[in-house]
Amino acid sequence: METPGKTTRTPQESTLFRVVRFFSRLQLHYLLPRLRHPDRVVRLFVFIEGSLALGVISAAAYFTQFPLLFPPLGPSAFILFRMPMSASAAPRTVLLSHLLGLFSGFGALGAGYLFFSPGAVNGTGTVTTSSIIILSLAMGLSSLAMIWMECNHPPATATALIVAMGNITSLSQVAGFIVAVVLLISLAFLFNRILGGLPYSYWRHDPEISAHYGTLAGITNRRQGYWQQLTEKMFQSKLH
Amino acid sequence: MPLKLFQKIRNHAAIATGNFNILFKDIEITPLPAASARLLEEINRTEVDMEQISRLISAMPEVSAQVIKTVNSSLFSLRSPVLSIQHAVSLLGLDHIRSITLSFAAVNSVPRPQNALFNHQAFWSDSLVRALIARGFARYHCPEECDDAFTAMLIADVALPILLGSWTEYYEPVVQKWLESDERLSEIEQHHFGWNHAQAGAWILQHWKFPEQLICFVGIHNANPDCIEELQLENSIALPLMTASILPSSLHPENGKTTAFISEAVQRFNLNGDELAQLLQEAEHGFLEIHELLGLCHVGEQPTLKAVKKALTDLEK
Repeated sequence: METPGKTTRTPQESTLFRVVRFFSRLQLHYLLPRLRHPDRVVRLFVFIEGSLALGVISAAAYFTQFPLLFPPLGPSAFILFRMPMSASAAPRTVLLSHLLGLFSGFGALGAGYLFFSPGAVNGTGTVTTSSIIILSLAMGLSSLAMIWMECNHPPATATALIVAMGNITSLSQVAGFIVAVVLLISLAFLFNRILGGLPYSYWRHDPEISAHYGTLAGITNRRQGYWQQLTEKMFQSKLH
Repeated sequence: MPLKLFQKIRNHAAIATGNFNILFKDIEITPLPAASARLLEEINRTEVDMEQISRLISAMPEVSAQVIKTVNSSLFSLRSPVLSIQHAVSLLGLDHIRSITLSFAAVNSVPRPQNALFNHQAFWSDSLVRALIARGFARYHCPEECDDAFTAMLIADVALPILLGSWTEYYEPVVQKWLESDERLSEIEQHHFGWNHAQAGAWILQHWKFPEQLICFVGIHNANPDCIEELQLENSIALPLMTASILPSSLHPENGKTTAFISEAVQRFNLNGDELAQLLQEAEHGFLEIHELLGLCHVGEQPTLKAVKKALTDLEK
C-alpha cells in the first residue's frame, strides 16, 4: 500500500462543498426519509410550490398581457406537486394529455358545427341537446386519446370540456394555453427536481424510480415486508 | 465553465446527501453473470426444482468447479469427497449453493481500481478472513444462517473499490486517513460524508437483485449493537457480522482493534479463549482451502489472524 506524500485540500473541505451540503440536506429527497412527520413537510411543500407556480403563471399573464390562465392548470399543478413521482405528473403525460384535450375539444366542436347549427355552442353555459352531445363527445374523445397514448392526466379532460364549451376561441388562447402548460412543467421541474432534489422525470415516467416514493408517487397503500422496509431505512444515516 | 461548476455542485450534493442513484449513475457496475442471475432467480422461487438447479450449475463450468472445490474444502468438513453437482446440491442444500453462487458471482463482478491505495490481495484476503470468522461466530449464535453470514461478510465491502475507483477525489482522502489512524473506516466516512460504504454496498447489492435480507445485513454490518437491538436483529447474523467487521485489516493489524475484537467476541458469543483460538484456527484452514478460488495467492500466515492470535495469547498470560 503506497502513501502519497503531499497533503492537498480535499473537495469535502472546500467552502463550496459546505454550502452545497447545507442546502442539499434541506432538499425533500434527503429530508423526507429522515423526518418523524414527513407528511407535514409534504403538505407545506404542496401549499408553497402550488401557490408559487400559479403565482408565477398569473404574474406572467399580467405582465405580458398574454392569455395564460386556464382552470385546468389548477388540478394539473396539484398533481405535479402532490404526486410528482407518479406517471400522471411526468412532463410527457402532462403536455401530451393537454394537447390531446385541446384536439378532442376542437374535434367535438367541429363535429358540432358540422351536424348542428353554428350556434350549437354558445359559450354561455346554457345546456342544449347539441351541447350535451358535443360535451359528451369531447369527454369521450379525450379519455380515449389519453388511454391510447398512455398519458393519463385527469385534468386534461377539463381542457377538452373548456374547449368544447366554446371558451377557447382564438389562436392566441391556444398558444397561451400551451405556453402555460410548458411553464407549469418547467416550474415543476424547478421545484421538484432542482429545489426538492426528487428524481422528477425529464420526460417519461420511470416506475422503478418512483416505486420508492409512496404517496409522492401516488401509491397510497404500499405493502412492504419487514426486510423491504429495512432496506429502505438502510440508506438513511440515522441507522448507524 | 458554468457547466463545470454545475457538475461540481451536482457531485458535491450527491456526496453530501449519499444519493447513490446519482453517485453510481454514470458508473458501469458490472452486472452479475447471466447464468448466476438465472440460478439465483431459480433458488429464490417458492417451489424450488432441485434438478433444474443442478442442471443450471452443471451448465456453468466455472461455477461447477467452484461448487465441487468448495464442497470438498474443509469449510464443509465432509467425510467423503463429492464428485457430481447433483450430489453436491443434495448434500449441501440450497443455502450452501446460494452462498457459493452469490459469493463468487459478486466477487467476480467487483472492479479492480487502478489506484495506488487499493491493494487487491489485501482487500479480498481481509474480506475472506472476516467472512470465515463471521461464519464461525454464526455457528455459535444462529447455526442455521452460517452460509448467509459468510456470503454477507465476504461482499460487505463491495462498494469500497467502486468508490475508490470512481469517486477518487473525494474517497482517497478518507482511505488515506483510515490508513494513518486507528479510527474505523465507517466512522471516517460518516464524518466526511454522513454515510458509509456499508450503505453504498447495500445499494449495489440491491442493483444486483440480491435477496432483501442479505442487502440489509450488508447495510448494517458496521452498525452499533444498540442499532441492531433496536431493529430486533440480535438473534440474527447481524451480531456475527458486526463483530467480524471489527477485525483489523491486514494492512495495519494494530493491537487496539485486535483487543477490541477479542473482548467483543468473548462477550457476545460467550466464548472462552480456547474456543476463540479454535475458531481462528478453523478460519486459517478455511482460508488456505478456498483463497485460490478468489484468485488470491497465499503469502504465509494472515497478518490479521496472526495479530489476533498473539493478542489472545498475551491476554491469557
